[in-house]
Amino acid sequence: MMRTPPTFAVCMTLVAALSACDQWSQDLPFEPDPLLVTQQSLGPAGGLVSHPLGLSLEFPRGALERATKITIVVPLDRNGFPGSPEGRLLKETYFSVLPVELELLKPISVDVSVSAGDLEAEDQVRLGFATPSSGAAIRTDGVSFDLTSGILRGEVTSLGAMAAVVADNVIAVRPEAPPTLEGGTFADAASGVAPPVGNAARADSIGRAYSADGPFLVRCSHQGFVRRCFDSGTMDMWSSSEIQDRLGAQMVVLNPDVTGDLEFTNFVDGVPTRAYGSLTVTGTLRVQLGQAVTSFSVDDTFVTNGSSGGTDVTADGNSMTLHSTSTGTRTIEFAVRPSGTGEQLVVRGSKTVEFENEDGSTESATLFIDLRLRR
Amino acid sequence: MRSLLFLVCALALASNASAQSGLWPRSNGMAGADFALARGFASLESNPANLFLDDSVAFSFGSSVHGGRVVVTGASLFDLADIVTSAGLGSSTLLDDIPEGGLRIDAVTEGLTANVAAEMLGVPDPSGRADVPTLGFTYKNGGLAIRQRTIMTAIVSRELVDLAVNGFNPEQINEYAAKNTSVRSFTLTSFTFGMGKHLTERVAAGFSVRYLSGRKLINGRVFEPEIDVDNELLSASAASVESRGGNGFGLDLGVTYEHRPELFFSLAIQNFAQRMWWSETLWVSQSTFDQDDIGSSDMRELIGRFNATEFDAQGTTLEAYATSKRLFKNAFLPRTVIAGVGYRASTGTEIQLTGTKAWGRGTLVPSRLDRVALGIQHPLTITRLRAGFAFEENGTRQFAGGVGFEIGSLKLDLGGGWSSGRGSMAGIVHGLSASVGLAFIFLGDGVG
Repeated sequence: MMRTPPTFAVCMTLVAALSACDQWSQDLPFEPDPLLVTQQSLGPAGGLVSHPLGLSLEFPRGALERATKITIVVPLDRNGFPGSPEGRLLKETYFSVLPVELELLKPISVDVSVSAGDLEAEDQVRLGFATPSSGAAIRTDGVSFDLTSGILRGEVTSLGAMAAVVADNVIAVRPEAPPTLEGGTFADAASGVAPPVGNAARADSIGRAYSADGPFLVRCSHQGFVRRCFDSGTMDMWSSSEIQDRLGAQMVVLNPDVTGDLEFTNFVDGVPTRAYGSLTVTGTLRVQLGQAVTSFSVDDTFVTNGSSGGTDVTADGNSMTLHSTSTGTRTIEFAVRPSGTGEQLVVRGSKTVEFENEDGSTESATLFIDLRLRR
Repeated sequence: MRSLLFLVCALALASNASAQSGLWPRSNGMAGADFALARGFASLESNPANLFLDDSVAFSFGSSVHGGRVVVTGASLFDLADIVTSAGLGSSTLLDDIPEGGLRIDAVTEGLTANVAAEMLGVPDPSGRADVPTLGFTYKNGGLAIRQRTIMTAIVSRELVDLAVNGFNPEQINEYAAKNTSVRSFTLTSFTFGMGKHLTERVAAGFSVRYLSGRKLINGRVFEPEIDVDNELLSASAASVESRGGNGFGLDLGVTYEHRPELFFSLAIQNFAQRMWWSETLWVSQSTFDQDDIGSSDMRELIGRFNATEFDAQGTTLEAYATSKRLFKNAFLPRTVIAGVGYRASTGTEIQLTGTKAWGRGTLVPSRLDRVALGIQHPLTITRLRAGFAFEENGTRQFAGGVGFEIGSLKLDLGGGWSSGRGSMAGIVHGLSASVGLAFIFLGDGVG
């Protein structure tokens, strides 16, 4: 004969079963899934397309010429990023955005989720975006990085493969004042080939003079087969104590690009009185402010533009003033040194920033750039 | 920041009132100690076993009209008010007690109170239009309670409080950071049906079944400011994600032992079993602020910038994804164990000692503070004078007081309390609570 279970035992069993039901957190309706393919139809009005795994693209108004279906795919082979970006690819940020051949009329904003905790502190200021269309170059302009949320934000100008990269084409800004340059004597003057005052050793049809040993040249870049700035000793950067105090000591320049030539002529008492040429420095200055990494564009160009395309020069010790350039009168510190069988000219440019203080006064802070030109 | 602080303060201070455990004004006047001697509707949500005690009531009806509690970690309430109104011109000493983890504000109010406060301030209603005050009634050994409750936790980084207090200082441009600045809020409507029964002559047991209707669950976050060094400008974005509905249930169990007619021991487990499902249709709002907004703008204008749109998981920002990550995290009720002893003297004086401990991961409670409370009530003609004292897990002490007026079966209860303390990790803690309620109680046979 079957016994009826005691009511108490039934209750206890029920209670035990219920008490075991401790709840777990509810899932979001869009849990990150690498197999998910997301799509949005966007038109000239712009809009957003995103992937829950950590990519969001914002197309501004006018970026697309016509209505287009934008697709985001997570590549199955996350090691297979096309091309060879200069740096360490963060493969978990590799997405493919289609259609690849789509022409963008404006840059689009791209946000990628990066695990900030997995990055070394020095890597956090070196992040950029890799896209195949820009070759080996990494897009670093206007990039910001939220260290708390891990959102890396920048712009790209084409679709296709995109990923975050820790750039290795970087020059660290030295957190100290630069050493004083020693000035020096140019070989033209020392060799005794300098022409009389007002004349030149050689002259072109418009009367421009040439020095006997030719112009000083500088070229380094982050693109093509040109030597890189960071390991060639072509460029050095320094910051004044005011910059370190205000912005922090960890500053770098990404994608530095330097090109230029300077030719000195018309020596008087061993000192040049004329110069011809130009210098261009570009790059992205990156600094961590608080919990965010911010970018600033470095773009400094000057061209001599006086009579015959040159400029009068006055030199005093280690200081040289170029009186007619595209940016007005420029005074630069310099040093001339022998370099192997040639000669090296170090010129120091500077960028002065006025920082406002709490009381409304201002404080000057200076960033120094040393360029080594050779001939 | 100023807006956030103002809203939270207004929610908590504009009207009200009670509730570390969302209880009634009588308990609020005794620092939450009313448990072993809670009777009638007041026992429905805490210990349904008490519904069937010999000394219990035959019929009761009560309403906690308005109520709330605010607890501030890192500043006194006066300092908080100064921070809110400093508009960049405050005293630097306001930052002295704010810990590295930031200023934290926990507020709980009756849903109706949150609704009324939001309407007074002209800001979006965080309660999801909660429009019914808390009500409870019992008849003999059963009863029903309906409660709407809005709970909000806001954290503001020390650096952003500095910005609000002292205004934007270009010399500190490298220090401003949002860090963990965030807000989390939810409103639940609960329908609790309870019954009690004698197991033996001295032991009563009871259960309550609770249906939960989620009205609104909000998670908001401020992201790190972007800084334009050339122009010394600062801007930050903020996002909030919300779920506008949900369903759930909870089961409470309780037992009370009547050692003598004047001495009772009670034990209850709230949410012994529970589940909560939130709506998966989400809404997102985003906006951007600059340093002037954070320091001094009118909060209505700032809040007005947030316009919710339906969350499109294939067309949104990473800020929205990041904000949504914690939306459902532990968004359910924790299991809570309450144990207490109550003594009722022949003079009518009542003394109660109650301990509360939460278990599990659930976070849908005003706070998860484990606590021990001691309360006393003394009758004086038509008044009931109450006082209470509680120790809370984070080193906070709560002092409470209240008064009840009884004219026949009609009761009017007022309760309030003050919290203060200094936790080893969190810095100073200050809090304020108040509540007001009305009740009709008809005593049953054998009431002591």
